[in-house]
Amino acid sequence: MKEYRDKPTRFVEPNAAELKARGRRNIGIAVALAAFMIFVFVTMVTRGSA
Amino acid sequence: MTEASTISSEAEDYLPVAQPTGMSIAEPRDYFALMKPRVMSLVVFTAWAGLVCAPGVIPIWKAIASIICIAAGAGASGALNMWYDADIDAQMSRTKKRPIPQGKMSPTAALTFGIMISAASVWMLSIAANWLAASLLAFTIFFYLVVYTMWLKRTTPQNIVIGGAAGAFPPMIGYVAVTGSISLDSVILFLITFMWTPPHFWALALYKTGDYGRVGIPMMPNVAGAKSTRLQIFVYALILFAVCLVPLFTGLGGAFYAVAAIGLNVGFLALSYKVWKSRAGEREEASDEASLYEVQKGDRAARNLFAYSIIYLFAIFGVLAAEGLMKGFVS
Repeated sequence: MKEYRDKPTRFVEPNAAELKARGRRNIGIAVALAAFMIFVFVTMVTRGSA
Repeated sequence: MTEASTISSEAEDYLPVAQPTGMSIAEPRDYFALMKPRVMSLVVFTAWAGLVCAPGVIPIWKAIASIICIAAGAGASGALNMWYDADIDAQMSRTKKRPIPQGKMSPTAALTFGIMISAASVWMLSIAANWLAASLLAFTIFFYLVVYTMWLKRTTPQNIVIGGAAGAFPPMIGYVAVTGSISLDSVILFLITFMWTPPHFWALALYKTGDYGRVGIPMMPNVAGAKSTRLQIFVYALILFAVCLVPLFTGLGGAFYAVAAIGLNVGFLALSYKVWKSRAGEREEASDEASLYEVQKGDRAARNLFAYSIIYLFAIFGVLAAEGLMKGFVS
C-alpha cells in the first residue's frame, strides 16, 4: 500500500562536527541521568535511615 | 525586502556563528561552561563551609548531596543568566567566548537547561536536607535571575551591592541544611559574602570599565566615577572587617579564626587603601584584554585587590570550616 508523505525537501545532512557533538551530548546525557538516578536513590535511602 | 533576506539578517544579529543545518554543535563541556564553573567552585566551597560550621551532625551522604544540589542550583542560575545576557555577553571581551555568543548553543537550549537543573536541584535539596534549605536555594535562583540579572544589573550602579545577596546565600543554605532553621550565625555567614561582593566586583570593574560601558551596564565606576568607586571600596573593606569580627562574639569563630580573620582583613584593608590612593580606572582607553588579570600599569592596585579578594574569601571560609571540622559535623 502506498504511503502519502511529504518528501523532505529541505533536509540537510549534518556535518561531521555536528554529529560528533551529538554523540558527545548523548553520552553526557546518559552519564548525567545515571548519576542523577544514583543521587536520588542515595538521598532517599539516607533520608530514610536518618 | 524579501522574507528570506529578513530572516537572514536577523539570524546574523543574534547568532554570530551560523548553524547551517540547525543542529546544535554544543558539547557537554559547553553546558559545563554555561554553569560558570569558577563561580560554582566558590559557591561549593562557601556552602561546604556553612555546612561544617553549623551546630549538629548530619549523615555524610546528606552533606555531599546537599553540596551537589547547591552547586547545581548555582550552575543553573549561571545558565539562566547567560541566557538572558547573551546580547551583552557578545560585546564584552570577558564574556564573548561564552557558548551562546559563540553560536555553539541557542539561547532556548540554555534556558531549558537552566530551568531543568534549577527544578531538579531544589527538589533534590528538599529530599537531601529540608524544605527551608530548598526554599532558600529556589529564592537564590529567583533573586539572581529576576532581581539581579533582569532588573538591577542594567538599571542601577548598586546592581552588585543588592544582587550580591544571591552569591551570599550558599553558605547560609549549607548551614540551614544542617540546622533546619535560620540563626544569627547563618546570617553572619551571609553578611561576610554580602559585604565582600562590592569591593570584589568594583575592583574588577575599575579596570574593565570600557567593557561594561560599551554595553550600557551602569557599574559604579561608569556612573559615580573611578574616584568615588575607589573610596567606596575602602569603606566596604572597613565594614567587611567589622562583620568578620562578629563571629568572635557569637562563638562561630574561635582563636584560630580570630588570628586568621584579623590578618586577612588587614591585608584586604591595605590593598583597598592602595586602590583608594591609586589612579585605577582613570584611563581614557579601557583595557580590551579577555584575561581577568592582564591590566595596564595604573590599574594594578585594582587587579591585585581583585585577585586577593578571591583568595581572601576561600581563606575566611576555610578557617571557619576548619574550626567546624574540629568540632565534628558528620555522623
